[in-house]
Amino acid sequence: MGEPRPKYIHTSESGVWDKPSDLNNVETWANVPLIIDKGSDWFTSIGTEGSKGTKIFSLVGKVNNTGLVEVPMGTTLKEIIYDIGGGIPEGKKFKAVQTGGPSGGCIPEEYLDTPVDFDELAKLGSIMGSGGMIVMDEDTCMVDISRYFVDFLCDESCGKCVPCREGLKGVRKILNDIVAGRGKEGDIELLEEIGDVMSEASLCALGKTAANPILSTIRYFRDEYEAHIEEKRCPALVCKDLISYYIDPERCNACRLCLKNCPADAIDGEKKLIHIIDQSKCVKCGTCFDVCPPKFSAVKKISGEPVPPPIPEEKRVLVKDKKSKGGQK
Amino acid sequence: MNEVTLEIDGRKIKVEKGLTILEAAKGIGIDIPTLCYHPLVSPSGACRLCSVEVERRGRKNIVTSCVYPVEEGLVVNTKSPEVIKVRKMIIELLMARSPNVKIIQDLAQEYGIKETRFELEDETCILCGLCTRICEERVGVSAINFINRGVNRMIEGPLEDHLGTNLSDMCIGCGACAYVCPTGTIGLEDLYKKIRSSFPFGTVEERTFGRRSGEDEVLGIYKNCYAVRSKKEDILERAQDGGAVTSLLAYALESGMIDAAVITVADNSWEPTTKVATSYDDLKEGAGTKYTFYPSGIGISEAVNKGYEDIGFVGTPCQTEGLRKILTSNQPYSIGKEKIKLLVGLFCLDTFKQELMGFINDKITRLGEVGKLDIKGRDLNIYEKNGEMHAVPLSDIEGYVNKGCFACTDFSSELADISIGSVGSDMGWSTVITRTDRGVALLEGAINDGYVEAKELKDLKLLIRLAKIKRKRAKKETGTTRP
Repeated sequence: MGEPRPKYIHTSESGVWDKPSDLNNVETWANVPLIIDKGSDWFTSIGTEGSKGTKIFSLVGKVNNTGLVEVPMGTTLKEIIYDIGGGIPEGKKFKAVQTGGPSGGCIPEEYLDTPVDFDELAKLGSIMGSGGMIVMDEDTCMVDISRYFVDFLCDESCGKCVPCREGLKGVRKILNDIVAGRGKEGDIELLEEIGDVMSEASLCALGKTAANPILSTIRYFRDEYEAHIEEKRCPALVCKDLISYYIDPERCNACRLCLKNCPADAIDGEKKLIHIIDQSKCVKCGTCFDVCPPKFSAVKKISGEPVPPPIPEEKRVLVKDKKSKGGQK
Repeated sequence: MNEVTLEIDGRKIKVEKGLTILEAAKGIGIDIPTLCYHPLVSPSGACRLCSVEVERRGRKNIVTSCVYPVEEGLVVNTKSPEVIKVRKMIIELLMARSPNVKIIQDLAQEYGIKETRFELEDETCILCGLCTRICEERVGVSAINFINRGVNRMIEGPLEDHLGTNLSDMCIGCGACAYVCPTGTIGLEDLYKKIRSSFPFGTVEERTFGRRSGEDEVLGIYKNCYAVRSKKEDILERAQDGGAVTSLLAYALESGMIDAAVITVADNSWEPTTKVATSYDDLKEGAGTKYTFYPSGIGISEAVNKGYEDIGFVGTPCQTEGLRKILTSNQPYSIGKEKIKLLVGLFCLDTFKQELMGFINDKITRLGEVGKLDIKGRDLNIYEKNGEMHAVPLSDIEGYVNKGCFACTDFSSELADISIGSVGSDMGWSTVITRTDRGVALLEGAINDGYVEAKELKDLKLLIRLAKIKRKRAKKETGTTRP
C-alpha cells in the first residue's frame, strides 16, 4: 500500500541505492531540456526573485475561460483570472480563488494584485501545490467550500498519522455541524487550534497542508463562520439547513411552473391561486427558484430570518391585470 | 568521526552517529512518550506523539524523534510549549477515538487533559501499526495489514476479517502481534483460541511425516524416546533437569549442523527475549526454562539478517508448529524458510503472563536474585542465586496462566524435529523424543561426540497422561478436536 515514510534524510542526499538522487515531478523535468538548450541565464530571467521560470495552472471554476495556462512566475492573480481567464461569468462578483488543489488556501479579492510565486502564496496561507486554481464567485459559501475540501481529504488521506486522520475526522464533524446550524461558540477557535497542529505535526505534505482550506477561510472570511454559528445564517445562501425558499405573494403569477416541477410536492396552489411553499415538505432543492420565470422572480431564498407567514386564504385568489408584470391580488 | 555532539533539553551529549533523537534521549534518561514505536520493529512515525522541537541553522521545526537521526550541533527541546501543544492535541484526538483505552487515559492524565472536545467513538485499536510491522518485518508472515484509507483506515488480520481475506490462513499463531499491541485490541488469549483451534495440524503433519497421527498417538508421530543427560557440568547447574537442550544445540553448532541457534533468554527482570546463539557460551545463557510467553519466532529474522544460513530454533509446541507450517507451506512467507534447518520443541502445558514475574518480585523475592525456575509436581520452584529455594503452589498463581494456551492440543511439540522436556525421566535427566531423521542425527551425533548420554525410555505413562490432559482441555475450551 502506498504510504508516506518520514524522510528526514532528503533524497538529494541519499535516495535510490543510498546514493544522492534526483526526484522531481514532470513539470520540473519538462523545464530541463529548455534550460540545457537556452542556458540558465535565460531561465532565471523569467520569474521572481525566489521563484524562477514559468508555472502552469489549471484555471477552473467560475471563470469564463477555463483550461491550462502557463504564465511567468510573478504574474498577478488578477492577470490570470481577468486577462487570461476573462473574468467571472454572468456578471457575478469574484469572491475567492483557491490555489494548489484541495489542500490549498482560499485567497480573497483584496489580494488579487499579489504576484503568484511560492513565497507570496505561502504568506497568504496557500500553496502552489498541484497548480490548481479554482475561482469562486459570490454564490460560494466559504464554510461549505471548506467542508467540501475536508470531506475530500478525509478520503484522500492515507490515514497513517494521527494529526491528519483523526484531525480531519474531528474537523469534518465540526464543519458539518456548522453548516447544519449546529455550530457553537468555540468552534472557530477549535478549528484553528487543530488546523495548526495538523500543519505542524502531520507526517507528509498532504496532512501538513490539509488545514489550509480551513485556516485560510477562517482568516479571510471569519464573518461567514460567525454568521453560520451565531445567527444560523448562510450569507451566500448555500447551506441547505440554513436557508428557506419562499414565494413572494406580491410577485407570484400563479403560473404553476414551480408547483409542477417541485419534486417534493411541497407547493400548494392552482391556476389563479397564489402559490405557497409548505416549509415542512420543502427539501430545498432550489428547483422552484430556478424555474420561476425571471419576469416574475417570485421565489426568494432567505437565510437567518423567519419565513413570512403564508397569506390568508381569502387573499390568495389572483385578479389578473393584463398590463401588470408581477402578480397582483 | 562516528560520534556527533548535540544538545537535548539543555544537556550537551556525545552519541553514536545513526541513532535517532529518541534513542539518544532515552540514553540520558529523558523520557519521550510514544505509541507506535517499539524497539523490535522499524519506526514508522505514525502517531506523532514523540514529536520534539529541533533547531538547526536558526530554524525551529517540529520533528518526530523516533525517526529523526542525531546530527552535529542539533539543539533538541523535548518539552517546549510547541511540543506540548502538539502532544496534547494528539492525545485529545485519540481520546475521542479510544476513550476506553488505558494507555490513552494514562497519557491524558499525564498531560492534564480532562475531556476531549471531539466526538466520542469507542475504538480499541489506535492504528499504531505495531502488529502489522512485527508480522511483516520480524515474523515474515504479513497476516495483518491495514485496509482502506483516510478516516476509514482499519486493521485486517486473523481476528478482524472485514474483507473476507481469511488472513488467519497465513497466520502461524506466534502471538507477536499480541505481544506488541499497546491497547490489548489483539488479545493473546483470543488469538490463541482462534488460531490454535483452527491450526491445520493434520495437513502440516502429513507434509512433515508423510502421514497423519492416529487418535491414540497423543505424543504425535515419533521414532524413539530417551532419557538424556548432559555430560557438561556447568550446564547441569543452571539447566532444568538433564540440560539436554543446551547440550544438543552445542553439538549442533559445533558439528556444523547449524551455524546459529535462536534461543530464548531472560534478562535481569526475567523478561524473555530471543538471542542468536553461535557458541557454547551463548547457549549457556539460555539454559533453564522461561515460563512466561514470548513470541520467540521473531528471533529467526534476526539470525537471517545477520547472515546465518543454517538456523536452529528452540521453542514451545505452538512456536515449532507455526514454523513447521511455514516450512511445509507453499504460501509466500518472507521469513527465509530455506535457512531454518532444525526445530527443537519443548514440552509445554501452558505459559504464564509476564505479570507473574511482577508477582514474584513483589511477593516472593527480587527477580534480580532469581537464578532458575522450574515446575515440580504442584509447585513453581524459585531458586535464588545464593541457593535458597521458594516453592509457590501452582494454585496460588493460577490467575497468571495464559488462558489462550487452553486451546492448544500439543503437549510434546509434535511437529518438531526433536522434542525435549523434563517430564517422564528420573531426576537429573531430560526426556527426548526423536521425530525426524534430522532429530535422530542430532541425538546420535551428540552421544557419539560425548555431549550427552542417553538411555532408552520405556515408561511413557506420565507423558501420555499429560498429553491427554492437554488435548481434553483443548476440546473443552474450543469444542473441536484437531482440525
